Amino acid sequence: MLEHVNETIRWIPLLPLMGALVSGLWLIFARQELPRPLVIGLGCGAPMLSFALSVREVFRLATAFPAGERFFIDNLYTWISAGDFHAELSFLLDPLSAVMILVVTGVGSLIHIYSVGYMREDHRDDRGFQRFFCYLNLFTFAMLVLVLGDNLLVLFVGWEGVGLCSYLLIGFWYLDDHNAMCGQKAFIVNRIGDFGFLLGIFLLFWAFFEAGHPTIEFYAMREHVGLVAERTVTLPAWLGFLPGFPTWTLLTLAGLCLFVGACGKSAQLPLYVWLPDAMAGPTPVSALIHAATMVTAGVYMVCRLSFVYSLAPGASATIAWVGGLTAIFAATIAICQKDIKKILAYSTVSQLGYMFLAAGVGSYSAAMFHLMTHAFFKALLFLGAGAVIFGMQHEQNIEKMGGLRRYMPWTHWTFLIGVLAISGAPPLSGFFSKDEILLGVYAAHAMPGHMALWWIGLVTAGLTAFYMFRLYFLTFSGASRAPMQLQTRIREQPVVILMPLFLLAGLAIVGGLVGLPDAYGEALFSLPSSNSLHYFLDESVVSATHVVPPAREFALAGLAVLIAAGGAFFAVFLYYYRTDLVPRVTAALRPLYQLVWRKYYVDELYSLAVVRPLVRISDAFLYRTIDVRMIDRLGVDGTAGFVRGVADRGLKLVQTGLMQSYVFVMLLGSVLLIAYLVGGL
Amino acid sequence: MIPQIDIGALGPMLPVAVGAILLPLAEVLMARKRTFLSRPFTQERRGTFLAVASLLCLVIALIISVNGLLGPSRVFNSGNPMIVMDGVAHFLNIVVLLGASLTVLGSVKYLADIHSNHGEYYALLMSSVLGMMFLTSASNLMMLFLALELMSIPLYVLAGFRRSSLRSNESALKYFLIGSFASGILLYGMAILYGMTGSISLAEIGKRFDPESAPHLLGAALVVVGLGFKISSVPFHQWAPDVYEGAPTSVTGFMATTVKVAAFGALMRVLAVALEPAAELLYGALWVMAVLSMTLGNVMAIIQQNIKRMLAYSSIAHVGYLLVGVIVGTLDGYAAVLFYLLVYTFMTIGAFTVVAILAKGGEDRDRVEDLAGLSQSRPLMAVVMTLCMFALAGIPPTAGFMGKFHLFRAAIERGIEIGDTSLFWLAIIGVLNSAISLAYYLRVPLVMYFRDAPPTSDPDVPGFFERVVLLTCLAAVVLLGIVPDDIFNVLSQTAASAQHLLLLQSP
Amino acid sequence: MTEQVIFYVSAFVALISAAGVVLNVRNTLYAALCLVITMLSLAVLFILLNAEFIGVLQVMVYAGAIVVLFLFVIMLLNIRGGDMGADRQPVLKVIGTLLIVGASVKLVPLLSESRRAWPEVGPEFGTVRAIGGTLYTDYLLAFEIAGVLLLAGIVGAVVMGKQRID
Repeated sequence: MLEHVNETIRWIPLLPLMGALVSGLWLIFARQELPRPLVIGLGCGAPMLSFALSVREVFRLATAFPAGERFFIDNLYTWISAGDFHAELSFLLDPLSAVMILVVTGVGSLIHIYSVGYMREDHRDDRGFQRFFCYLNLFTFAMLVLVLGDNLLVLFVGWEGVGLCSYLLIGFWYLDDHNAMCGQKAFIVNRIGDFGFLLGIFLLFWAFFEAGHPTIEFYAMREHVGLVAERTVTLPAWLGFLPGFPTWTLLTLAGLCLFVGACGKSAQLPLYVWLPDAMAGPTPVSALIHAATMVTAGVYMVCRLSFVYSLAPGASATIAWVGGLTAIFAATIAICQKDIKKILAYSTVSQLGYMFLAAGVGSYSAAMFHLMTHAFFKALLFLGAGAVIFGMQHEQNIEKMGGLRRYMPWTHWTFLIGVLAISGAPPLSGFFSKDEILLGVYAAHAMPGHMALWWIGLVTAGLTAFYMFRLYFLTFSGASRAPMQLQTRIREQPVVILMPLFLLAGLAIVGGLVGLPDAYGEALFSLPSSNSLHYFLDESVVSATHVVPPAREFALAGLAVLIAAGGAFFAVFLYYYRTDLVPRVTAALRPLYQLVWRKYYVDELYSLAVVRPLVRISDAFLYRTIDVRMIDRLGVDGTAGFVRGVADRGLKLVQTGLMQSYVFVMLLGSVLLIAYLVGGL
Repeated sequence: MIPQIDIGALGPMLPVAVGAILLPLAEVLMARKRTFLSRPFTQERRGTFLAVASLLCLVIALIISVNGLLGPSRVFNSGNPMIVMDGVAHFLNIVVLLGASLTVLGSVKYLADIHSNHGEYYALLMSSVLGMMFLTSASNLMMLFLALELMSIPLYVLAGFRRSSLRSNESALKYFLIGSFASGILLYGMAILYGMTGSISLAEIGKRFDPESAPHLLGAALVVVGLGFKISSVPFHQWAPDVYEGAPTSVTGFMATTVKVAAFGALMRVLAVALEPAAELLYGALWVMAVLSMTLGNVMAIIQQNIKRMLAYSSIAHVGYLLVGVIVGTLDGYAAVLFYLLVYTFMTIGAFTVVAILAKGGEDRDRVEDLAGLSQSRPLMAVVMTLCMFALAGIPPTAGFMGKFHLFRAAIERGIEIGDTSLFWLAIIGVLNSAISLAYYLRVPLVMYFRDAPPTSDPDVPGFFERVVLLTCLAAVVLLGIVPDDIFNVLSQTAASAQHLLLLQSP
Repeated sequence: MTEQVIFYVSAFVALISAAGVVLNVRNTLYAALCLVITMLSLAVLFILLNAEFIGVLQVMVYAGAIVVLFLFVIMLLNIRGGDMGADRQPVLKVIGTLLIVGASVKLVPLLSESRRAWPEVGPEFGTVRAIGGTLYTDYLLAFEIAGVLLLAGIVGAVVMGKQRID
C-alpha cells in the first residue's frame, strides 16, 4: 500500500525553476553568457528530467492505487494561516493534473529542443539565447505550479506567473516597440480577467467560510460543496437586466467570476484580443504558451472546479455559449488572415472555444481530451510554421509563400499531418476528441439551446477544415510566390528542428487512441471501456453522464466528418484547382470580406470604447481638471500667474499659487469630513 | 517626588537619540583641517563615516526593538502614560528603522552625486527617525504632537536639502507650509478633544468620548484630517506629488515609506483607543477616503511621465489599500496593515533606490524614459526595479500580493462576520484598483527591457552600499511573498498583545 | 464683572488685529504690527485664565522674538505690497471665507454649549513653579523630546542658512 504523501512531486516544478534560477542569476551577476552547450544542457535538461519524473510518478499513480483513490499529495509548508484562513503550499497529483503535467513537460521538452535550433542564430542581443531559456524554464515552472497546485491560491500564483512569463517572452524580441506593446496588451487583458478570478476565489472562500469550512483546497471544497449549493446572493439593483435577477446562487456568481479569469487567460470572447497580437513573440513561444499550455489553463481550471460548475447550471450554460460563439467567431476571422501565425492563433482561439463548449455541457473529460490532442497538433502546426518562417527568412505572409513542398519535404509532411488532425480526419487524434465534444453537446439535454450549439460546433468543424487547408495549399502547393533570390536559399531545416516535428506528428496521429470511444473499441477491437482517458479522468471531474446509442454515435461522427470534408474540398477547389476564382470571390463579397479581414473591428472598438476614454478621463479630466486646472480656474490665472510670478515678481524661486489651492482643497476636505461627522451629512 | 518610571521602555529610542544629538557634532569636528585622527577627512570619507555611524545607531536600535518585540510590553508612565512599547510599537519601529537604514545606505553615493554631502543630512534623518519611533508609541496627545513635529521638521529641511535645485527648494517650502497648516488643524483637534474630555491620555479620552456630542466629533474629525495629511490620503494628498518629485530621491524614498509607517501607527492607535466610541461614524468617512485614495491615486499615476511623481501617486493609492485594513478594525485587519507596511517599505525603497542610483552629475534622471535599456547595462537594477513594480502591482508570488491579499481577505472576513456589504465592496474596489494599477507599473519594466538605451546613456554602477540595499529589497520582496506565514503570525500575536495592553492601560 | 469687561475688550482687539494681519496685504509691516497686537491681547486672555506664565511667555516669545524676526526679514528683503499675490485667486478666497464663516457660525455655538465645567484650580496653578514641577516630573519625556526638536530645528536652520552651496 502506497502512501498518498509523495515528496517527489515537488521536484517536477522545482527542476525547471532551478534551471531558470541558475541561468538567470548567472546573467545578472556574471553579466555574460554561459558556454552554449551548458545553456542547452541546463535549459533542455531541466524540463526533460521533469518529464521523466512526471512519467514515473503518473505511472505509479495509475498502477498503485485502486480507481477512485488515485492522488498524491506533496505538502511543502504552510503558506498562509491568518484568522480562519489557511492555505498550504502543496502540490496535488491526481488524474486531472497528471494529464496536464504530461502535456506540459512532454510537449514543453520538445519545444525546448526545437528552440535550440530556432534561436541558435539569434544574435540580436549578446545574452539573448540564455535569457530565452531562462524565461522558458521559468514559464514551465509557473505552468507546473498552476496545474499541480492543491488549492485555489497556489493555482492563482501559477496563473499569474504564466501570464508574467508570457509577457516576458512575447516581448522577447524587444528591439521592436510593437512587440513590447503586444506583450503589455496581453498582460493587461489578462489582468482584467484576473480581477474576475480573484473575486471568484474570494466568493468561494466566502461561501465555504459561512458554511463552517473555511478552505480553498480542491478536495476539501469538493467534499463540502453540497453545503453551499443553496446559498444565494442578492444582486444590487443596477444589475437588474440579468436573467434570474435578483437572487443567484453564490456558486453561479463565483463560477462566472472565475470564468471571467478563464476568458482572459484562454482568450475567449470578449477578451480574446491579446492572443493574435501575442504572436509577435518567437515561434517556439507561440507554440508552447499560446497553443499547447498556458492558454489551456482556463479550461483546466474549469475542469478542476467541475464540482462547482456542475452545481451552477447558469454558469455552465454561459461557458458553453461563450465557448461555442468564440469557436465560430474566431474560425471566421481565420478564413481571411494572411499571416501564417495569426491564422494559427485564431485557430487556437477557436479550438479553445471547443474545449469550453465541452466543459460547459459537462463533458469535462472530453474537454481535457481535446486539450491534450490540441496540444499535440497545434504545437506541431506552430513548430512547422516556425520552420517555414525560418526557411522563408522571417516572411510570415502566406500570400508570398507557395510551393514549399519541394523545398521542405519533411516539414511539409508533418504539417499536413497537423492539418489533417485539426480538421478531424479519422483516425487521427483530433477526430476522436472533437467527436467526443460534439457528442457531449448533442446529448446535453439539460442545456438550453444545446442543438444550436451542436450546429455551431459542426459548422466550426467545416470552417476549420476550410481555413486549415487554405493555409496548407497557399503555403506548400503551387508555384512559389517568393522573390527569386529568396527561393534559391530556402532549405530544409536541421534535425534539431525536425526531430520534435516528427515526434509531435506521431503523437498527433496516435494520441487519440488513449481516448478511443467505447463504441469504437467495442466495434473494432471488441474492447469494453476502451476510453481509458475518460475513465481515468472521471475520478477528478464531475462529468455529466450521457447515453447515446452506438449507431447514433457513428452517424453523428459520419456527419461531422462529412462537413469537415466539405470544408476541405471547398479549400481544395478554391486554392488548388481554381486559384483564379479567389480574387473574384473576395471582390464579390467585398463588404463582408472587409469586415472579416479587419477582424470585425473589435480592436478599434476597444480602443474607442475603453482605452481612449480611460486615458482621457485620467489625463484631461481627473489630472488636469480636478487636480490642477479646476483649482487654477478658481485662482483665475493659475498657470499664467505662475509664469508671471516667476518672471517678474518677487517670488523668484517658488511658485506658491498652487499651494494656496492645495490648502484650499484640504480645507474643503476637512469641512466635508466635519459636516459628515458632526452634521450627519 | 520622582515618579517610578520604566526607563527601559525607552531602550530602542536611546541609540537613535544619541545619534541625533552627536552627529551634528561629529560633522563639526571632522570639518576641521586636522582632526583627532590627525588626518583630514575628505568630503567623501566624511560622508561614509557619518553614514556608517548612523547605521550603527540604527542597527543597535533595531536589535533592541527586535528583542522587545518578543518580550513583554512596557509602559513609560510618569504620572501619565507617555509611551507604550507594545508589540505594535516595536514592530512599527522595526519597520521605520529598516527603512531608515536602507535610506542611509542608499544615500551615501547619491548625496555625493548631487553635491550635497553634508553631515547634517544624517543628523536630521536621525531626528526624524526618533520622532517616528515616538509617534508609533505615543499614548497621549502631547507626545503624539511632539513626536509628529519631531518627525516632520527635519523632513521639511531634508526635502529642500539640494540647495542648488529649484525643485528641491520649492518642494521644501510647499511641504513646510502645508505641513504646518495640517499640524495646526491637528493641534486644534487635540485641543478640542482635551477640552471636551479633560484628559490627554488616549485611553482616558476613549473612556470619556461621547459619540453623540458634536464637539467631540469635531475634535475627532480634525485629528483625522491632521493624520490624513501625514499619510497623504485623498483629499489631503495634493502636496505629495510635488514634494516627492522635488525632494532628493533618497529623501523621497524615506518620506514615502517611514512617515507613512509612523503615521499609520498613530492613526491606528488614535482610532482604536481614543476614538473607539465613534468608530462606526469615522469608518464611514475613512471608507470614502480609502476609495478616493485608491482610485484617484491609480488613475492619476497612469499619465505621469516622471517616476518619482508616478510613485507619489502610487503611494497615495497604497494609502487607500492600507486604510482598508484600518477600517476593518479587527486584530486581523491591523495585522494585515502592519504586514503591508513592512512590504510597502521594501518595495518602495527598492524602487526609489534604483532611481537614486541613476542620478548622475547633480542631475536626477527620473523620467520613465531614462530607464531605457537598463536591463542591458545594469541587470541587477533592472531586476530589482521590475520586482518592485510587480510587487507594488500585487502580482503573486511577490510580497505585494501577499500584503494586498491579507488586507482584502481581512475585509471580506469581517464583512461576513458583521454582515456589512460595504467592506465587501471595499475589497472589490481594491482588487479592481490593483488591476488598473498595472497599466502604469508595467510601463517601467517595459521601458527597461524592451527599449534600447539612448547612445549617450551610461547609468552609474551601484556602489557597495547600494548593492546591499538592492539585494535586501529583492530578497524581502520575494521571501515575504513565498514564506510570509511566520512573520504574519508574529504580527497577529503582536496585534493581540497590543490590544490587550491598550485596553488595560489607564493612568 | 471687571474680568468680563477685560475679556471682551481684549478678545475684540484680538479678533480685529488678527483680521488686520490677514487683510493688510499692501503693507506687510502693518500686518506684522497687527500680529504683535494680537499676541498681546492673547497674553491678556491667558492671564485671565490664571495662566500667568503662559501669558508672559506669549509676550516674550511671540511679541518679543518672533515678530521682531518678522520685522527684520521684512525690512531686509524690502518686501513691498503686492508681492504677496494679493490680487490672485479671488474666487478661492471668497469660497474659503464662506466656508470658514459658515463653519464658525455652526461650530462656535456648539463648542460653547457643551463645554465641561471649569475645574477648581489651586493658588499654585499656572505659576512658574507649578509648571516647572509638572514639566520635570510628569512630562519630563515630552520636555526632553521638545529639546531634541529644538536641536533638529537648529540643525535645519544651519543647513538652510549655509552660505556655500557645494
